[in-house]
Amino acid sequence: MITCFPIAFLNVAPNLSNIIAIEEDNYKLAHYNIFYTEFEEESISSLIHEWIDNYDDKKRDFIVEGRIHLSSKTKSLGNGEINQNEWMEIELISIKESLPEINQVVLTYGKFPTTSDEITLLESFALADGINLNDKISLYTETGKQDFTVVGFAKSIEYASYKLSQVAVGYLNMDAINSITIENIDNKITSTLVYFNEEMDLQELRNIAEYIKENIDNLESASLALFWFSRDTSYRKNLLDALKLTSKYMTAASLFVFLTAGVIIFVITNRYVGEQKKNIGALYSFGVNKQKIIFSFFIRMFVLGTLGIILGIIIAKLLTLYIINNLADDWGLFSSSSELTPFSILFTLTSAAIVSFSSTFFAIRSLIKLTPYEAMRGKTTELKSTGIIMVLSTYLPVRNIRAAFRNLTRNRTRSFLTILAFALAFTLSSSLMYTQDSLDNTIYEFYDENIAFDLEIELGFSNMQNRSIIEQIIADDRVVTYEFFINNLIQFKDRPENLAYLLGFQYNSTLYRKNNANLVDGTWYRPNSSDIVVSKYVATSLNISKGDKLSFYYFDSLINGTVSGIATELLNNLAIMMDIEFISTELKNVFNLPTYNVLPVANKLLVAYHENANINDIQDDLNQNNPYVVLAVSKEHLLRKQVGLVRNQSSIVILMVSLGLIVGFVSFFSTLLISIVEREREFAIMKVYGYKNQEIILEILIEGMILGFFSIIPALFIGRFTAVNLWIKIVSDSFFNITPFYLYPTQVFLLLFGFISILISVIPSYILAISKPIYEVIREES
Amino acid sequence: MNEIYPPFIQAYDLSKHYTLGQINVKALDNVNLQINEGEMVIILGPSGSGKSTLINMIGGIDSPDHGKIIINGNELQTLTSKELTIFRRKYVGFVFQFYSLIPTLTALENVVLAAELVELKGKELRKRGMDVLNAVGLRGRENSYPSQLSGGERQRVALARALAKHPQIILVDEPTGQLDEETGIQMIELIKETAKLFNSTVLMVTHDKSLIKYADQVIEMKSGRILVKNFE
Repeated sequence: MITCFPIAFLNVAPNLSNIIAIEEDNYKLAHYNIFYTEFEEESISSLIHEWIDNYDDKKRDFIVEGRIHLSSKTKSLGNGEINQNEWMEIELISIKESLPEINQVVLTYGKFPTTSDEITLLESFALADGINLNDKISLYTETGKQDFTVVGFAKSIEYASYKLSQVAVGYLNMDAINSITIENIDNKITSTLVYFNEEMDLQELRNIAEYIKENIDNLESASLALFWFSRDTSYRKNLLDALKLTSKYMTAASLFVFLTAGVIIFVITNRYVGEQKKNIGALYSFGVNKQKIIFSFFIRMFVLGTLGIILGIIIAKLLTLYIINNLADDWGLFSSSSELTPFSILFTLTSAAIVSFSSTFFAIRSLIKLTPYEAMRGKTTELKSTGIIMVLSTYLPVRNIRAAFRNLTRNRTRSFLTILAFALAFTLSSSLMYTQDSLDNTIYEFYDENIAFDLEIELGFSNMQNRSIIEQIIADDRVVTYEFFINNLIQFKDRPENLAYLLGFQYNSTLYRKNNANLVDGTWYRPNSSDIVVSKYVATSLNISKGDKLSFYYFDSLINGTVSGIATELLNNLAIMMDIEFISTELKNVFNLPTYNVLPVANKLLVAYHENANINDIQDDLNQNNPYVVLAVSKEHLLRKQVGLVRNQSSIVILMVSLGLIVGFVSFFSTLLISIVEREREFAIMKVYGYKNQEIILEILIEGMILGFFSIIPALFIGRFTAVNLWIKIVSDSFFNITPFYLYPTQVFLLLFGFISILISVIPSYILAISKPIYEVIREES
Repeated sequence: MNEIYPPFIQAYDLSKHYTLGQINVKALDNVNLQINEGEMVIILGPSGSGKSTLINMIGGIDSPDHGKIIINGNELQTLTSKELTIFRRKYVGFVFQFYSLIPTLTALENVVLAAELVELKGKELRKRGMDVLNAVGLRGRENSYPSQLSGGERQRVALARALAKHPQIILVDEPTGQLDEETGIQMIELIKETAKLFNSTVLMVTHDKSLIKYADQVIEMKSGRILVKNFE
């Protein structure tokens, strides 16, 4: 245990990191993903190829590929973890006769679409929605509703997994794409991918990107929507963030394992030393050197340790493979591995050796002080004169409880260490469970307190400029209020490889409340100012602080701002927030638009409806029947997405919670087993004197309950402390502030588990202890 | 034999064998005996004669293959395991050959372990424990652990533990085996005295013939059989 878990844990992150790096090249993750505002001629990709070729004298090995990449909307089937009939965006990628060379897609089941009514889905999305082969899904596009048969599932290097990205993806052939677009798509594309088959440093990529952008600007026919450095800001980056978090979790868990295992080793070795005392006394009296005897214990530990290490490394390899297989599946990786790094093995073996030999030393320390005569007589130095607990226990009204307290205070060291090991293991589990509860609750609370809209309706920029379209939506008498809203990807000026979402709200928005409690640093933006509030995640990822200048492109114009604050943002983690009025003012001249009360820069409407309004019906109507609505999603959908994103570590957390519970159980079981089996003779004597089996087992059960009580109750409280100061801090430092929250069912579960552990530890141990007939046991020399 | 009151302990045709590997050992072979209440009975015999097996059966911690044992009207063979436990609780105190004290309990605590069975608690429990320890001459040693006591003192604690319930039967297995001659005599006199005090019937197993003078009845055994019974 002391070997296999730490080695496995310390190797998860390096293996995953390795897999991610290898796959990015094996499956050719694009360096650039160049999006155009409209369909462009396919020939633009050849132009881009030419530009890169002629950029400088350096001959580069690269590929350029065009594709059609559209957005549509669909309703979930709801057969998996996604709620039924939930509207969501689905990204649609074209698949031609030959599969793409860049951003490769690998079929995992079924086939790629060959007809216009077939679709292949991202495997992890299908799993999340419980979609099976031959199921039908409906896509709502500019040509109306169309049904497609699911013919296959695939993994994509571009999208990682649905769990990490919360993005639904479907692959259609060109006939299908043609059927869902009004425009004739022959020889047309919406984006160009570029892949460099060599090491590229960031500055070189930036320079080439600038060069391509300039050339596209010079073309009258093409218009750039977004130039995405898809290796730097990508769903795969989510993977790396998840990996960093995983790594921290696992390192901390390894420490718990070392501590708990150390306690168990001490208890078992202590017991063994006790058993050997008379033999040791005899050896002393024959003239064997005390140091030699003590050294023999270390040799014993060395031999047992060596055997344990060999077994531990074998199990570690299997455990690493198991963990990585599960994570690889969860995170949409293509392959798996279970290499054990020399560092992890060396670190674990060194730590295990220190813990094991220290525990052995403390266990045999008492031997050093005994004379041979004392050893042979079985003197135990840990026995003290009757303590206060022992004296007080004689006054307890119930005999079994009296006896239990008396028995526990006999070997105080062992009782204390049993409590310590059980408490440590339970602290690990309880703290992780509290953290998960707190994570979920933070998100739910955020949405309860700050998000007051019912629907986020995306109309797109051109539709937002059409007053009649907006009036059609807000004329619904179920509408209470509405606000214009920007929620769009932007690119930073000084670091084009980084993307973020610009969230533009009205300063006095009632539908997104700017709560000071959500501020981590600084203040919210002032009205009509260039103040920017960045999300904690953006601030941490891009190393942005309060007071920093930030410039970004929006509608090809440069917007300059200053960071006034950093906040927890759970509508969109990767966000910067500004006053929509300010952005509108900055861009009014660009558009030269009429000055009626429509802000030209928004792409979405936030709408709140009456309490009695059926939001699902409204949503269905907008998405199905209003051709101007790109997508209307509910607050619940956004909440579920956020919870899904946050739960990408759930398989790791479950593993570590289970580890804590298993280690806790093992520590309790092993120490109770020793404590019970060594009292075999005592139980026989008690039975001779007339104690019934039930009375003896009740006594031991009460002993177990007392130990359990003193372990579990403190662990529940220390678990809270650990949750706040360790796990929550790890997440809060990177992503968003978490408010500690403790659910009673979690505590009840832990108490129940503890109780069952005690039962399972006591009963078999006692059965083992009474398995011999009484007369045989008492016949043995004491 | 007393004709008016039936014998307190009766055993008829007791037989018991053990299998040790390939060898079948007859531990008891058609043993019959009768013991009156309050008697001190010494069971003599060499090692392996069946003495310990006999008292284990009378104490209800082993059962014969054939025969029956009746103690104060209770036929032990008809009792279930649970009923045998209750029987031992009510009637029997054991003094083992190797004391069998619990090493992690003090002298008083070892004695109290037995006394608790008669539903004593608190001050009463402690008083009972101290009383029997005083009766066996261990006043002032109640807080000592077995490892801190001499052989004789340990044997006294074992006797005190047996007496703590004021049992009607005290079964004693080789009480002087680990003691020197003088201490051994002191122990036997103590057993006789305290048994009289509590009106207990004593069955004592020994191979030491010098102790027979203390007995009301002597039973000699060899190879699982009774050779001689000395009835008064």
